[in-house]
Amino acid sequence: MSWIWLPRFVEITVAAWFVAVGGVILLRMITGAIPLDGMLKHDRRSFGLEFHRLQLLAVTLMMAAGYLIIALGRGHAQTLPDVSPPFLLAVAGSHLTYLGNKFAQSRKWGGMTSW
Amino acid sequence: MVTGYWGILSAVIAGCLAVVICVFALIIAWRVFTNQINLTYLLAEPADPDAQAMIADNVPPEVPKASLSRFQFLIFTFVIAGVYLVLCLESGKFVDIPQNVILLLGVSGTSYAASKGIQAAAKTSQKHSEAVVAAANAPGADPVNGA
Repeated sequence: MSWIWLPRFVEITVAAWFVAVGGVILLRMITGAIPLDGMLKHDRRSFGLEFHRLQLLAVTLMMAAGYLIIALGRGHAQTLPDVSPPFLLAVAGSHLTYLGNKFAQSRKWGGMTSW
Repeated sequence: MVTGYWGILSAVIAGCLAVVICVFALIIAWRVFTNQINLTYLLAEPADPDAQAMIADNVPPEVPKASLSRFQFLIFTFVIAGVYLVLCLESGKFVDIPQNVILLLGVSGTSYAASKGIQAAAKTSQKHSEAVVAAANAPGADPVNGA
């Protein structure tokens, strides 16, 4: 009795599942079934967008794309590609900027006690 | 090649486990695809129940705002999980995850948690302020001592 097909079957199923769920999420974002409205604003009713949110979005997309390119460009590898400290600092700094602004705006608009 | 009683038994159990896990995965994927598992609020911050209660009956409830921290958490999760899956399938074993990659996911998750904390603190503070104002304006309240 040979079970050589079993690992291959599981691999294909897991890969297909991952692609299918990712594809459904992406498709629903494109069609608006998963709303992205208000992502770049602190308050939905405010006009325009907020720069600190835009920079976090840009940094996130750039870093994710860069990591993906590095990882898939290495061919057969035994580890995930490492992330350099400056890369990590850039992401952390971007998040701190976002959180700092969110905190300040929550104090201004969200009813927190004044400074 | 599987031989012997224990070999066949372990292979059968492994096969059953693999089938069960694959069926779980297919059921979840199918329900996501047919919208029985609703992903509409995947990226949304939960709506404020007090604000929802104040909306009139003939007005549809406000759709919650999309959350940037949820979105970037989703992106990093998918990128790192996807790369990990590809490398595992290529090499045929679990690949090592460098410490800085775990830190990257940690930064992303911490940012998401801190964002929720800031929101919760703002709401709590707002309710506290409203309660203080309501107590001060109540009939018989002492405006000097607040009681």
